[in-house]
Amino acid sequence: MKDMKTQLEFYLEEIERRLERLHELVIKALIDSMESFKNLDQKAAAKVKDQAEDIDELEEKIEENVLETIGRRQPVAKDLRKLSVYLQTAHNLYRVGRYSYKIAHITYLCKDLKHFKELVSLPHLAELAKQTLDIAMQGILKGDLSRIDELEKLESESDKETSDMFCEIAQFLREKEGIEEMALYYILIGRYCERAADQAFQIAEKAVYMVKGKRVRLGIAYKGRASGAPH
Amino acid sequence: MSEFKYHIEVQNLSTWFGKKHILKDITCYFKDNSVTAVMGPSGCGKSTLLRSLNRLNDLVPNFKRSGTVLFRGEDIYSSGASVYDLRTRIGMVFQRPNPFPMSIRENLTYGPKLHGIKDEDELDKIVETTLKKAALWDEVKDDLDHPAPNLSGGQQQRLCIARALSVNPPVILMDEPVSSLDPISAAKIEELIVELKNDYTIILVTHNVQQAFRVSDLAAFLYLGELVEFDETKRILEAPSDERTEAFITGRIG
Repeated sequence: MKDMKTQLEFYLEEIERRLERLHELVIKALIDSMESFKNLDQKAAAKVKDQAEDIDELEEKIEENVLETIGRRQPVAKDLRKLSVYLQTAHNLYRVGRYSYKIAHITYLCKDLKHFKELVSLPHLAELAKQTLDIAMQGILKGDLSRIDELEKLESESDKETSDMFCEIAQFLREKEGIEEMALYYILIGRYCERAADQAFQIAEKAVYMVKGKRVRLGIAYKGRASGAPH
Repeated sequence: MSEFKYHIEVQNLSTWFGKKHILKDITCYFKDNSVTAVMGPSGCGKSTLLRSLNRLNDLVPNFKRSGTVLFRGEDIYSSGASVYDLRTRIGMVFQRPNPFPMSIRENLTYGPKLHGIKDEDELDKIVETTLKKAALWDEVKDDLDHPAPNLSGGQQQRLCIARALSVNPPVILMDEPVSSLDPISAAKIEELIVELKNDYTIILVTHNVQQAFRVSDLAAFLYLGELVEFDETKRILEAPSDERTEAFITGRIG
């Protein structure tokens, strides 16, 4: 009898499965959208845009599940915190999905443009956002906070990369003509990657709250060391 | 009169029924003009705690106690304390409605008359005021001389609350006051409890966690006679600090 699952546990597990799927979809969208931009691959960009609907639907489903669970099971304590955090996490993931969609859309807008430099920083920024998201979701889905301390290093690296990229593009703009449009797209996409990492940071903070019941602020910005990146 | 911070304070209270140790060194206070829920699984001592606050356990054979219960800074168990006076200051509402086998009016004038109020106008005023406070006036104002036991269960319980209010006690104890009522009547009593805290200090024993969260400002969690956790209800609802509280309120023990 002790090991028998409660109805509430069934409800929670269903939401966790959906969150896990949403996480997978969003990561794929982020990486694929960056690949589409790197290669200016219109087909790949179109695929990312098509997948956006799945992300929208899944976020809505999770929201429905959370509201139903609160209404039917009246959870409290950790169960209530979980549901609150699941709802917010679904929205954070949805936002990352939207940034991916926007990157894919920029690829579409670039159909008659070419890169004026080898693309290194942007894929790296997307990879850093992915790593941040993976660590945060490990906290949400498994209650595992063991890698939370790595986030600060990732944030630092992301800030440095953003800052370096900004200086590099500014230099290109000073030296080369006819690259303005693409240069602005680089800056925009860099910004989307930074925002995606920020959403992941919020998820990580919620994961700590969910597991420990305490609200925390993670990252260098909250420790009095302001970011040097222009965002 | 001693100085006091809260109407009721409990200090190191332990109780026994024969050899059975029920409450174990309980220390807590009950904040004025608020609802404090006392919750815990069956047999944890929550009703014993409530009944210790107005000495209802005194008549139970083999009841023993140590520690103090202060009402307005004075020990209710001290040798000079009057149980009679105490009951006029701490009202009680029980699990099952127990109206006296009299008219509605007589139920409400019984206590005040016992305390020397004889003026009919004043008694009428008490009847109207207490019935209004108990949200029952509109339903019974034309039937005040009808027998109280003819009322519905929910109305009877509200009458019992009105009766408790009729001697104007600053503190009201409620021992699972809605557990025998239908959901509509229970909801009315819960609304009433929240209203009444503006004028009274209410201590509510309940095994219904959701009810505790709906109506109380502070919550005490008892387990096997120990006071495990005592805090703002919203904090316990969100993040209890003790694993036993978490297990109880999430339905994993109890």
